[in-house]
Amino acid sequence: MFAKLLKHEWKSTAGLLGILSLAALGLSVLGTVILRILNNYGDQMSGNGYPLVPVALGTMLFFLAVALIAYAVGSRILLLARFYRNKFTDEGYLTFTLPVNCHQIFLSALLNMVAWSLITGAVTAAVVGIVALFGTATEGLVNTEVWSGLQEMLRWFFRLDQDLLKEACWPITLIRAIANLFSGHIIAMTCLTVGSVLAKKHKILASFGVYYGFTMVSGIFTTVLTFLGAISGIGAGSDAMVQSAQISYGIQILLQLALALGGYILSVWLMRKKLNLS
Amino acid sequence: MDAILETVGLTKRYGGTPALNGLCLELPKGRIVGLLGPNGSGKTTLLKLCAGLLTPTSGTIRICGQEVGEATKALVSYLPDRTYLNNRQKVRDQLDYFQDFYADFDRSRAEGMLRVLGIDPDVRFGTLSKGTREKVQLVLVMSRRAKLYLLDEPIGGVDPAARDYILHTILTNYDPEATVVISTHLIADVEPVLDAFVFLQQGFVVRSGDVAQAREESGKSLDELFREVFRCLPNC
Repeated sequence: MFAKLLKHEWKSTAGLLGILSLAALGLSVLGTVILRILNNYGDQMSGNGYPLVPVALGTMLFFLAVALIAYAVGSRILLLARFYRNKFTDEGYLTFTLPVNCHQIFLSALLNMVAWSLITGAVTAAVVGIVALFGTATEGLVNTEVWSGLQEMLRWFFRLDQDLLKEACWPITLIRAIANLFSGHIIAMTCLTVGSVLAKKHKILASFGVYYGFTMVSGIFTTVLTFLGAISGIGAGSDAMVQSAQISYGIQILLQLALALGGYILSVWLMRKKLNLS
Repeated sequence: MDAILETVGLTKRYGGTPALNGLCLELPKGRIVGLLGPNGSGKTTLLKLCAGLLTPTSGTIRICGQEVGEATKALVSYLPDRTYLNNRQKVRDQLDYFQDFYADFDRSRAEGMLRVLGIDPDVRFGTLSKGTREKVQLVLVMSRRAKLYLLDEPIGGVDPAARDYILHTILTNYDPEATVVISTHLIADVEPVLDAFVFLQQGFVVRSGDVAQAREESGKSLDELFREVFRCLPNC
């Protein structure tokens, strides 16, 4: 049954998000063309009495960037809207009378969101990468400076973590990424669940209120932890500072995982015991 | 008696407001039961509890001897008093959905009923009229070979001709071993198909029994009996 839930979760979102992802990839071609025209012929056009053409192209480029941000943000909103609609509006009458349990209902929605987050992230990175690599080239197909800069940036990123966390770099970075990915979605889903189940009216507004309160509290916790970590490292040797940073980093990951687990348990309990669809 | 549905001391409160008050009910298999009562009598709450959409404040519900949960949801076919299917999906997608989740769903029967009704499975659900949407929902719910059908106001929002079709669909599609519970205000319309009735008032069963027997004993139709019973009660 869980596989079927996953299938239908995917099916219900794949159409629209698939089209949006393809459109976003299409933006990379458009962005590349516009940027190349601007780079290669921008000055020429301004000098030949067409000063508005580069301005128009620049404006188009700006709107392409806005569209890309809208795609990244909009995809998440669409997924959360699907979660809300499918569970806490009239559609919930069908969802919660299926012969499945609330764990399966929540997890299928979560995994679908995680999958689409990865796809959206990959598409956004691909669009930015394509435009930067191909659009900024003044001669040849690829901008070699951007290419080597990109490689350098990747080396720097991994070296930075390695310096900070020594041998534990890769596993911790991976755990942190996974914790971020899952906890972000679980917390948003939990806030929607709490708002929808507990509020009689204005459920979405209530969910925003819960989210605001939650981010404030977790923000205070994270700040305190980071602050304590920084204080404990002051005046100590470099090894002690690295150790202190490691501990602070580890605690933040644990806190995130604990919040995600707590959110998951709370959501499933609310769905099972306090569902209030009317 | 082989009880399909059994409730013992079933109570449900919304905050401090009671919707069901220690309800004890036992429904045998193979009956069409009218769950009747004025607004706020607890009909919808009872059906939601049986469907697993609500959790009782106290008391128990057993369906085919099992407590309400994942297993009983596979045995219960529930039609709520509202449109609950995804408006953006085609009717065919909804047939796929039911087929995937309910092992007892008879797709060919559903397609046959849709054909008789002249409903194209390739149209989007949201583009259909209210009455047609209700018919599609009923077709899906009645195309299951369920043990217990819970129909909440199945004829409430449709025209008289559609009501006849819906009642005909209920009569001709349920398994004789199954029980159908119909909650409605339109007693005169459903009376011809009912075997038994339960009158609910403020979360209590005020009267229940066999329809034919009640008619014989009182010399009144169920509709007249309903009016008489609820006229006699205070706050009515």
